[in-house]
Amino acid sequence: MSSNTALTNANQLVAVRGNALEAFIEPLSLMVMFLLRNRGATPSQLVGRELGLPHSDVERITTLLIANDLICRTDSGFVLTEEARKRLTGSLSLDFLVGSSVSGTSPDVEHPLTTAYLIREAIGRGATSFTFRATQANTNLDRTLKVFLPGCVRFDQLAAAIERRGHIKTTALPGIIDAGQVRLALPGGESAVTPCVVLEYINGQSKTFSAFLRDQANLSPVVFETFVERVCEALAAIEAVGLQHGDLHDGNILVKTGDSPSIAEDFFVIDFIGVPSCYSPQLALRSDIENFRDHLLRAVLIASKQHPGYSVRYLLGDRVYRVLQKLRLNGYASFGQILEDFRKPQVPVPKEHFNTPSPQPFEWLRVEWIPSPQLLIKLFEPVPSRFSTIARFGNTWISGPRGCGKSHYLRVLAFQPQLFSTVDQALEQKLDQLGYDFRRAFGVLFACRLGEFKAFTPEAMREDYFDVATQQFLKHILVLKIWTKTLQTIREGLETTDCSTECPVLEVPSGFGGLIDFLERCLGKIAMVADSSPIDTFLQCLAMCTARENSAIAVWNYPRRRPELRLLDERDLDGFFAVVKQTFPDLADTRFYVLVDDASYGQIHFEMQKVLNSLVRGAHANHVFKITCDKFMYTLDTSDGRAIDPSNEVTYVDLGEISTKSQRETAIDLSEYLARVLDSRLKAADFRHSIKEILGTSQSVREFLSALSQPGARRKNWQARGSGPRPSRQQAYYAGWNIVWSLAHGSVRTLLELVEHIFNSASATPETKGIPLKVQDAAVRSYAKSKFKALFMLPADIKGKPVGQRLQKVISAVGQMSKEYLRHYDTGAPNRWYETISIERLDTSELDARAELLLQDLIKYGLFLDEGVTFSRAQFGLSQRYDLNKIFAPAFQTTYRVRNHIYLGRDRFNELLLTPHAFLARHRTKLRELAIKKKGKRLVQQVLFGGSE
Amino acid sequence: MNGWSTIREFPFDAPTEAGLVICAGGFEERAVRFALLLKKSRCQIESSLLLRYEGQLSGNEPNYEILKTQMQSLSEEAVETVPADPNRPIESYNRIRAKIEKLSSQVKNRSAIVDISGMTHLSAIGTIHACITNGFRVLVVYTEAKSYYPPKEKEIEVVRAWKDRKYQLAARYLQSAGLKAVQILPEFVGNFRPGRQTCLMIFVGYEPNRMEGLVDAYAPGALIVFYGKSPHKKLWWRTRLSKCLHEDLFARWHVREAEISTLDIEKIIVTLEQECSVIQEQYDIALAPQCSKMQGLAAYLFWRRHPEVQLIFTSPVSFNPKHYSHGAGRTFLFEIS
Repeated sequence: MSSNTALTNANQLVAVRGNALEAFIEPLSLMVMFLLRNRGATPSQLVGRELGLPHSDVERITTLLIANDLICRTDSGFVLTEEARKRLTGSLSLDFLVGSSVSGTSPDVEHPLTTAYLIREAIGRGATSFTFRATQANTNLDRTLKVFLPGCVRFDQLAAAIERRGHIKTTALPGIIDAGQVRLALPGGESAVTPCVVLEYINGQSKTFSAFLRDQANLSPVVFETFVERVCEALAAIEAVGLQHGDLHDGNILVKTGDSPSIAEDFFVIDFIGVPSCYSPQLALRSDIENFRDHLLRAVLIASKQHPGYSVRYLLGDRVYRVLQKLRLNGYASFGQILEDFRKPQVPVPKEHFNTPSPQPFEWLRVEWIPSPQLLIKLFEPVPSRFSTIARFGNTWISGPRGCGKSHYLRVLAFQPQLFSTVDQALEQKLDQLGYDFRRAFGVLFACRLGEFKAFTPEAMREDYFDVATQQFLKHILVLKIWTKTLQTIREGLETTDCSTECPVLEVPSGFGGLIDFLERCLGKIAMVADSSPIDTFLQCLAMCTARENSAIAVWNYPRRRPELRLLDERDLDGFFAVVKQTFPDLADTRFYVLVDDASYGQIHFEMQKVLNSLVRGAHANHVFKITCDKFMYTLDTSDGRAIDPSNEVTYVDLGEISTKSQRETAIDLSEYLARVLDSRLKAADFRHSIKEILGTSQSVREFLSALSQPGARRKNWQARGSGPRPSRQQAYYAGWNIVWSLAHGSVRTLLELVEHIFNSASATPETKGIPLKVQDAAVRSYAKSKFKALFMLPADIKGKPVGQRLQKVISAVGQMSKEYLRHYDTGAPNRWYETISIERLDTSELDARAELLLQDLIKYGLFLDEGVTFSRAQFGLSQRYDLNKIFAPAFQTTYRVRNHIYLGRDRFNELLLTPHAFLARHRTKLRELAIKKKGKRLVQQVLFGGSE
Repeated sequence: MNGWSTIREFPFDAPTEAGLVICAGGFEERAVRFALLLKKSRCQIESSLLLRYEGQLSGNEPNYEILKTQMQSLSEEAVETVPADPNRPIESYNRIRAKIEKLSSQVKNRSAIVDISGMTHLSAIGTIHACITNGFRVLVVYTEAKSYYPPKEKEIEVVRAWKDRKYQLAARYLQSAGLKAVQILPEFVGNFRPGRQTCLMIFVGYEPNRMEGLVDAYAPGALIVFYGKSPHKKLWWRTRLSKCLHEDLFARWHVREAEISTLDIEKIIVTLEQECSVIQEQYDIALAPQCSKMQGLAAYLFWRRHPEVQLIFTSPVSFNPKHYSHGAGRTFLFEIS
């Protein structure tokens, strides 16, 4: 029989007595019984008058008391029964034993106790027994002495129970030291022999589980898991020998604390002999399982109060939560089942649960898609000068157009212990090349896209800005987030084995005292379970930080619900890193890089960026920030009102400059750099040939532009000329490595997409040696056209109105104008065409507000490349330049080179952005005029390239 | 046990009593259906609250005016209006919440009827949540559409236009102009455990452009995609349409696909529980209701059981009111206590 069933039956047995006890403790009942005790027999009317009760109440209470044998009706009125009288006069109490000694040596007592016990204090009162702390005479040790009320239990019952209890194998129940009978001298002068039991005493520093939880500021699932494990183990062991505890109230589960009141050394189920406490008020209607469930529920309430807003599942841990849920649904018949369910190992997500995309090296356009840290590193091909700037110790902002690889630059700095889990020579070489050494630079990555920071917006407080208190609280949250993420990253290092040493990548320290002290100083007492392994202790710290962080996040926008505690700031952040360095031997000399990937507006609100900046500002000994963001999407301001000084406090790296600078600096060979990027991907996919071999050489510029500037309609009609060999038709191919990489305009992502498109069109395989230019050309043109078409769906808006189509028109205007210049403008020099996809500002006047927003969107979405202030092509001095993204060149059949510029003053630029059609029409007219003026020269050019005319 | 009833048709013949009725002046015809079918003689409504959308006024305003007139005639107190700005959803939610809090202290009847037919997912869930947290028993009312867009005969054209990247053509059928922003209300931010990847569960509709923006912006570790299946057999082709529109998009992700009811809340929640039970220990979960309103409601009820889950909403650059449903069908009632 399960304990559950047994206890249900036991509860049925005691149900009547339970009702009696309920009747007894009902306040009005007590008043009635007290009156009867003082007055003796009292009629109903007098009871009502004396107590000021209406007749209905008197009727109800007397009926209840009669039904439970506490009063009875006589001719002269109601009188107390004997049992009620005993209870009221306290004749059932054994408190008088305190201070006295009990001994089993009395010769007339059968089965005496083996030694004497000096009773020090009463520590528990039940319906059938009293429990005392007593000192054992021969050992002078404190013991728990449980003395049964005379007549409640016979010794043979007790002995049988103890024998059965002897079979219970668990350390969570205090052991029985002694059992026997004693003769008690009762206060009335009588004496009685009664059984008693002596048990191990759980020291005075022990607390109930609820009290233990209440005393802590920070909890972790380990505490609850240990509670379930230990308590269920004890109760399952009891159940296994066919017994039940029967009195599992709050006071009967104790947490033994050690030197520190926040360390739970062990859990004990006490007050269990094996004899049911059938009169116990606490047992009245509850089985052990129900009581256990209520213990857990109480614990949940306390924990939730301490960590408001944090998920109960995460707070308790998955296993405990699962048990609790099932307990609430009466899903267990025994503690054995609970324990079995609790110990059930975590089932990993089946491999086939998600459809995994087939590994396509060019499809890993985003770093998030790269399937392993090893590949992330192997596929990384930095521009050395930029990477060395980014990788050095110092606050850094990394910006650049979408797809330029900024996330990749950042993520290779993150600590990835999996890098050491397999032997891979190529990887090792790459790590050496990058100077990867977590003992010197330890990166902790935040991927902001996952919405981690999205909710921190002033809108949530119905404001446009955060007030000072909110800023401080948000800074507190940010610090907590960084702590948690750092500990988690370290955890991965502790749990991953280094294949070369067969030891953890990060050595597990022998103790975490320093870290725990630091956390307790900052956040208050942490409930810990003692005797756990060092790694378990560490995990408790991590779980506690996670709970504290999530709880803070849940209340941040409700000022009144925020906890009253010292808020963390930048000093605590650097202090934390100092403690981590002291704790982990491998990190003693490291410096921490807080890597924030994509902190752009949209992922982090500008006001939240200011809070982040207030942490970034200044130089710290142990940590720096590295932040990636889109242009115009990150602020320089801080929450304390002072802007960050870009020349002193941070280094700014614009990866978009790579393509611009490669035009002027010989130090950056963009072609080689991009070829390396692609070759690493090809290598990963086992391609035999390099990208340059596969794509081959592009047409010469002269041939390409010549063909491009001669549209089919103006080409000589071969049939009209009569006989002669058919001349080969000139064709401009957007193909070959040189043109393909140029079209990517510095964007690694665009290049990958483009090459993928070419490879797919040519059905390329790892054995492919080369792809014909014609095939490449068709693929490139189709890709460019689809990119241009896709602008229509661009999710950009200005004041709620979509602007994708408008941006498309601007791009179209520039593209078409470029094409027309290429075809119609005569430069006057052979082998020279007017190649213009660049716009140069003639002035610095502000654009119209709407035009400015459009320009920002053009740059934000990488349609125009902001090339910064450059020397003017027309030698006007310095001027701002914007290039049309070259990827659109094939869509307009125009040049892919930046040669000549379109010079625009404020009004013309406004016109281009706001009314591109008008702009295009104006320039067409102007171009026509220019063409007419130079008609003669045009002819010369046609002769030169067009054939035999 | 669950704290909610099964879904049933709204009993317009029975008396309607509520402390508060909340409706939204959305652009769909069905947004006003429920209010117009209520009869003054059978209603006892203490207060009314109308959500007035600030964007795309030309589409939304006529229905708002209709609702205002109707609710004025039905309510004992003057009708209150709260502006809802799709560009500032969190602030709008806070306004709604504050207004409900205020009205909550003024009404005696603790039942609130929330007609979600004219609401966005975010305002529907936000409104229901605000009512529940203010102690109301919530009666959710939902009117289905008579016909849905695009029509069946356009199915092939829509799919082809989208797959061939003929966006101008595709835009004639899409319900919105792409994703503007991913929205996460602080209430529904969920809890995340360090070191866990996030699995994004999406109730997919018919807006691949919005979906593309969502998965691109959110970049989850894995996706579980639920394609809506109508209770009406004649609309099952729409499940196929939804799949075709999204298959290329999701092919690049670690993805799991399943079909799910668009109406039966109980079944939706059971499916969510099943999926969740497999992955919850290894993944943190985010849930994005993008398809039917009832799925949105199920997502909310699921969140109430699992507050660690993050609820994600999206706002489009703009809605295309003409591409939404037409007419009004049956009105359903769903009770949350």
